[in-house]
Amino acid sequence: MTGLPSTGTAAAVRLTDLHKRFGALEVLKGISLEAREGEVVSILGASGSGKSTMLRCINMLEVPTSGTVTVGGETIALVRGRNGESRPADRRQVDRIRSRVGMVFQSFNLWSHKTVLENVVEAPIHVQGRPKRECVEEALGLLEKVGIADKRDHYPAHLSGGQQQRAAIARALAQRPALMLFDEPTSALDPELVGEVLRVMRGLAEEGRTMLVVTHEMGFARDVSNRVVFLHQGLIEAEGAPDALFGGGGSERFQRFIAG
Amino acid sequence: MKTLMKLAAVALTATSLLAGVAEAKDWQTVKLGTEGAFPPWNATKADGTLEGFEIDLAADLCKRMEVKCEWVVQSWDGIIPALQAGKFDAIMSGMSATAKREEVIAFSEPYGSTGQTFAVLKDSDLAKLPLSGEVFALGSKPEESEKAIEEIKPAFKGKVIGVQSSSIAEGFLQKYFADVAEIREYGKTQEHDLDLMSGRVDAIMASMAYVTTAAKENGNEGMEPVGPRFQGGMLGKGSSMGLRKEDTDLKAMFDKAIAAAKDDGTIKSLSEKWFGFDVTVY
Amino acid sequence: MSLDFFIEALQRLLPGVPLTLTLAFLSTGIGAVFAFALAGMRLSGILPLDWLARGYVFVFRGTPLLVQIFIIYYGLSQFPEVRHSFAWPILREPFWCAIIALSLNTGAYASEVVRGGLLSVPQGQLEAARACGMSGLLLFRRIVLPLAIRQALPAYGTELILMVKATSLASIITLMEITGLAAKMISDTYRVIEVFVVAGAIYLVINFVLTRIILLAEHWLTPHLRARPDGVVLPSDALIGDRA
Repeated sequence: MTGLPSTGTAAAVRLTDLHKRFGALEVLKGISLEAREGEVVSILGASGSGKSTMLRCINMLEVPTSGTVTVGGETIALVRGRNGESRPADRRQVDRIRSRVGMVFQSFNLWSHKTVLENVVEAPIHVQGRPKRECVEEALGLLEKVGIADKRDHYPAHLSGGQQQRAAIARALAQRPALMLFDEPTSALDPELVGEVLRVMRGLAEEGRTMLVVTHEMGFARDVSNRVVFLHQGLIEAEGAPDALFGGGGSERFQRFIAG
Repeated sequence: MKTLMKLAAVALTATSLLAGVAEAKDWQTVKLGTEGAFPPWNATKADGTLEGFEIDLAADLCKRMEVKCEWVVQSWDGIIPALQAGKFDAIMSGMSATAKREEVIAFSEPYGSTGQTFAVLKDSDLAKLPLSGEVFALGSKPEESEKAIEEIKPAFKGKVIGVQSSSIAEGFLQKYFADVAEIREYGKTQEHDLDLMSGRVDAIMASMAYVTTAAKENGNEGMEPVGPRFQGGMLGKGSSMGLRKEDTDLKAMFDKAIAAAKDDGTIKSLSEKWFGFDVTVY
Repeated sequence: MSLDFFIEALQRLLPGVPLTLTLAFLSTGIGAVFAFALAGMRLSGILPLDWLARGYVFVFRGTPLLVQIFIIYYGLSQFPEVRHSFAWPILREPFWCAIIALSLNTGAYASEVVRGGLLSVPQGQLEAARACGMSGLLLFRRIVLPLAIRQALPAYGTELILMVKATSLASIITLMEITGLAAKMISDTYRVIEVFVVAGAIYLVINFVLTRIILLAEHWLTPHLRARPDGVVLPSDALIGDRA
């Protein structure tokens, strides 16, 4: 681990020798990675390099074929089913860990039948069982923070992509997460809407939140993250502080990658 | 112009010819409508052909009338509308002449009457209904009949009686038994038989002819006619041919033929063949 | 056709409306339970359950409702085992036989509607729910069901209308709903056209009202598919708004 943690020292998430196989295709070939509390890690790589799959393994949206995932010091127990596929041993453990991990998707995935405010308070009230009044107050604050407080009673279909993604970020933040996962949060947005989402993410990074960000935004990776991880064909090919990597310290392939 | 005149003349002649035919219909062929599901009056054999008292009697009547007769099978529900629509010329389907039916169609003289009776299962408590086998004429002997009804009525308290919907038996039950029993109406008589056998209804009411035949059928083991038979009055004069009101000539032909069949004992012998008893209306 | 006769027909047929509605609503309600169970079996991924549900749907969609009603009412009562069973107090009654037949029938049709609704729930929204810790019943109740219902509602509304009309077959097992009363009135009066016109008109009014109620429910359940509350049209305004 060559990263330079900006704050804290405890590991927020640790992946050990992670393998993921879809049938004959091995997408992850042994990934080990650790992110400390308060660290912002950008994960770069060409499409098909396995970066999204790696991120989705952290909250078990994909179950690793082998290897371990440890979130906040708690290792997710996996067992091998009768068909040879591995699966979580305890569904409740997964639900518990998921409720502490916020996730932002490429295609927003807001619940279309709920208003923005209802989307944001859903998990705090119904998963975490927190008092409704407190959740609503906090949600309004979060919407204010991401700049769409005036859209709180709108339905997702009535918002632009940028507004939807900011609402999705507010929804993830409402979980009071110890860790935030961003899976290509700006890839589905029109170019002119990317900036508003990145601004919000930059703000979160400055607050010292622990963030793992799969992205193609080189500017964000270079300027905001503490550490950059470059994946190639299911393996970490280069890893390090952005200055070092972008300053020519990465592999030849990484240099070609950032050159476009 | 000339051609047009010719055409018009031809058309006129044709129309008047057609009109002439309609006025003096000489009844070479008479179409008879039957339900084909009301044994022993009428029934459909396994091969689809018809049999029964009415089928035999019609053959005799048509011979006397010197006409060719053809059968048309029609469900009971639509049999009167079908007559009115001209699907056939006469209904011969165990239909009694009632005042209500006479509002819409005409009837010939009756050619048979078996009376209406109850049927129950042998092991039911209704099997011991009094006055079994006796006949009561609602029309000619109303007091006696009403006394008989009062005598059997208490036995039906809280029971369910199945009956064919809109039949004369239904009218009778609605008038005399609806206050003590539930009257359940069926589209077909076979359906109330099934429900009598399964115990959904405690008794059925239908014509004596129907009940005696149905009781012999496979699957109806244990069914038997009980109590008195009722006829006349609101139960009608007996089975008659149903005819369109305007076909007075056809009615006259049937009346004459029926009277002749009655006089020479044809009806008596045919009814003994099909019913096992005489159904002649005297 | 006289007005008096129409009024008389209305007076004789309207008493059948409560029975028609009871049959339609009760069996659609019970059928919905079957429909969800069958759809669940189809989507369970457990092969024997899947095939059982497929077989059920095949049989009940592939045979006429009339035949089903006859078999349940007249067929089952042929067996002494049935007549002596605990179920006889229910199977004895024409009303419950009609409810059973109608429910089983609509369950088969509606299971496909429900299955379509469940399948239409976007994968991404499911994933978002799982990612925040929802699973099992909570996930089904909060996310899957509301989205599936909204998707299935128009088709389910059609099914309810079909059920109102299907209840007319209950008259063959002695139930005096609208059609049963109409058939009886025709036997009494022989005025086929007038009576059926009145009966048809009653069904038409019932289904008109139901259609409006279903539309209202749809409108009420899908604010997210309507225009924005501020009345501005998407999507161009969103872009302009964001640039501002």
